[in-house]
Amino acid sequence: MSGRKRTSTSVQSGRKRVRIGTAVKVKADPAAAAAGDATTAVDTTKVSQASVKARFEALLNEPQYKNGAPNKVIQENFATKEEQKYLVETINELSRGSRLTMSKMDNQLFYTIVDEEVAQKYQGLDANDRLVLQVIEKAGNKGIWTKEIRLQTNMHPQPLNKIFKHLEQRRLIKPVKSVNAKAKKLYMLYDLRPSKEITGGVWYSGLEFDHEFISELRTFVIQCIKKLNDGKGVTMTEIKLKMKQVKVSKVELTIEEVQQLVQTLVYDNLIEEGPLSNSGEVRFIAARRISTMCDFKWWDCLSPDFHFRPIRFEDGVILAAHELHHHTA
Amino acid sequence: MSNNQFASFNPTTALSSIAHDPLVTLSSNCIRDFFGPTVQLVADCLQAQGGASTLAQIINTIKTKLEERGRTKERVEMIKVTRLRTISSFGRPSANSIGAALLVLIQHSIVTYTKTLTVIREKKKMIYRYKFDPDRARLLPRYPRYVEYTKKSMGEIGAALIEELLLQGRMRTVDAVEQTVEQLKQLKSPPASDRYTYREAVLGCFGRLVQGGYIEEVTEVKDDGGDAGETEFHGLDTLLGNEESKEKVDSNDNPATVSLLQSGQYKSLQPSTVWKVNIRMFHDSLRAVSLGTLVYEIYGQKVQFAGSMVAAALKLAAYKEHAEGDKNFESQKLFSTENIQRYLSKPVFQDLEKKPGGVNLNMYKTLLELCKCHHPQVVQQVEVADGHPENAKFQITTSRLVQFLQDRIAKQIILDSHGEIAARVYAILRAKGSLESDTIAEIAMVPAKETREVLHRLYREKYIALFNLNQGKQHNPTSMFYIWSVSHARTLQHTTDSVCTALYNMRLRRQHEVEVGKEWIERQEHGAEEENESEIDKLKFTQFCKGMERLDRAALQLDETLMVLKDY
Repeated sequence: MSGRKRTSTSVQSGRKRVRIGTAVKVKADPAAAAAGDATTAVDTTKVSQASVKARFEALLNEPQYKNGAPNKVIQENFATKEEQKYLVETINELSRGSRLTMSKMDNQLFYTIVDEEVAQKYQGLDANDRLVLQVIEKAGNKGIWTKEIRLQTNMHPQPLNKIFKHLEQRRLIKPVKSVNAKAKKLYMLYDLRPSKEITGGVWYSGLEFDHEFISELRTFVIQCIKKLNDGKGVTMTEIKLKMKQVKVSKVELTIEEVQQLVQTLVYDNLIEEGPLSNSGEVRFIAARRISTMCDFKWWDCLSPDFHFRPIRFEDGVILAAHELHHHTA
Repeated sequence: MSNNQFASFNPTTALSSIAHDPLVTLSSNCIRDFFGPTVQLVADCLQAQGGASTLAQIINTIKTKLEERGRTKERVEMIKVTRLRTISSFGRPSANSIGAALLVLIQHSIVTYTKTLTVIREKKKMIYRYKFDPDRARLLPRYPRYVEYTKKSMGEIGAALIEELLLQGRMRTVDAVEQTVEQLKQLKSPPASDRYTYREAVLGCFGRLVQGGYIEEVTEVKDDGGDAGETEFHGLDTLLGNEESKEKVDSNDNPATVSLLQSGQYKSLQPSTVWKVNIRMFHDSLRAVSLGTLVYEIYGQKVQFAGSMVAAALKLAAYKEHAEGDKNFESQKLFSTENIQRYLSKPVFQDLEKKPGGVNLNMYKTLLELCKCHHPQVVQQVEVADGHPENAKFQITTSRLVQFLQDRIAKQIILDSHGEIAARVYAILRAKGSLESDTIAEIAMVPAKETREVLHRLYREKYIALFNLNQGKQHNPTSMFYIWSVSHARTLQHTTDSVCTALYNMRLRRQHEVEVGKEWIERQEHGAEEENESEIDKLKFTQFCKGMERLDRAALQLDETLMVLKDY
């Protein structure tokens, strides 16, 4: 061929001359194998695609490589060239079947095996589907807004909506709504539980703040404080225990959630901190009534048109409104 | 006065300020209610001038302003906008009546004055400048409270004496005694003891009230130098209680009273000394009772006699300041267990005596227990005296207790006018300092949107403050931090203004009701001509009285709150 330089390479016996850039199939030298390691001679006969695949899967299934096996370890376990050849085919086969995922960390490649069941789910997905799925997976349990997905994948809305439908049908993703932005549609992986920021936590029912539930819990806490321990005081741990015993809530509240409730009661001056318990925990007691010297309640008298409104009392007494002609000097 | 039937109710004068300062508006209304429109006009004029004014300036301002109003009225009548809305004509007061009105204001210590000697065309002239005190004027409706307090502590005679002094503003000794005796005879209340006549009982009570600091002598404002010859107007010097004239006796004075005073029994009471009620002493005494009750309610279950001891200590501080004239702020507040024993009630003292260790030791232990209480802090130990509990010195943290009470009032008002969530948000900001709205929502357990609405409502009402923190150099709302906080001083000011406005509106409403109900009152007095009419009138009159009673009660409640916010 014109224009190409011929490289002159001294070729040892048993090796083929190769053109630079051409893939080389290297056969193992039987004599060298026989002269060398006995196991190698034995492996040579046993190495096959299936065995390499089985060993590879077994290696990745080991507990310490549950989150991924580094490339270094793979290379150590599959040192020979034949094994490496079969390994490449194995990797390609597993990737095509969605049974293998690859990731990079600290400039190192990691291989993670995927269960067959899970892999079956991803079968049949094209590149766009996988891209969208990847973007949604990255968002984790916080979910991702459809607009954000569009920006990250650079896809038009129509094909994107088709992909969403397809993935929803396959039960790979699900739409969720956030309590902070009810109009926004978020997507997340099907099996994930939405985070507290999205659901609002225990205090939300559907997407609505459950005022009644909180009110009931607050009343329950006040009753606990008044009635348990002869009114001498109750700790938060005791309140939580009582809540669990009585099953006042379908979901068991954490100590932080109980603390939140108790705090609101303190701010409302309904309960206050009392003496410490034996375990050093603060006890809460019913707040004492303090006269504020502010018994007046008609604060609507501050409105500018107060004088032009009649005041009606429950017993029928009426104070008539001022006529409009008054207040002129 | 015009023929317009609706023009009779008129709470303002030509010089009344636009209601930018609720306190001033309230003071003006109180003056009108107690002294009438002319005195109100003079007070409004002084307020409008700002600073101090001379009598000539006052007369001139009033004259100018009324002329302007007169011209405006003529223009309106010419345009014939409406026949009904006729501006009520206010008769132009003469210079003498303005002077008399000014005297009334000075008499009641609502106006103070200063004298300066100037030389005009080589002639010395004394210039009097008058200054209006709106804070003093708004105390006029509170007089019954002072009388009630005196009745509880000093009895009927003390209450009658204080009432006379409050109504008159200031009086000479002889006049005060005579008028009190007259009032007691009318009320047919017996003297304290059969051994004393009314006169002697009143003089005895008078002496005790002076020693207790509840009545004080009116001190004369000293001249800069020499007598300029010209008096401002007749009667001013009489109000001053000139040193030289204290022992002088007027020919109209009752000789029995004069002889009692000159007998030497009542050394501090000279016949012509001029006296007035020491309002500050009453406020400090009422504050002692209120804070004692507060401490009892907060710590009474934990620390026995806490309330009584705090009240006693504060009464001692008031006595030191007003009766003994101790102007040193630090020494006023210090007390030991021995000092305050005389202010404890008998049952409390007896209970302390019965306990092992004696009164001093038990009081000392109580005070030490109270020192450990921090929410709010009540008392601090200032001097330790090991082995001698009666010598240990303490002081009450009055300002912290008052601030606690004021905070509670502000929170109560927010609760009553804006709801539970608003009150909770206020309490969170007061406790935690500056926070963002999402954090507040989380702590308050309220949805973020609702929290933001409440915050903006409280901000509009000036209960809380907003601080914008920009992340970049350019103004960008999306990247800004909005931090909410509460300033105690600002909240206190706004709360006080709200209470003043509410009280003014209640008073105005009451005055209107009196105007509306005049006919029924007159009919009631004159008797009904027909039975049916009488029944209807009776019903209306009963309802009218109920309405008035409710307005009075509301005004009393508001005045009590205002006392805590402004006068404690």
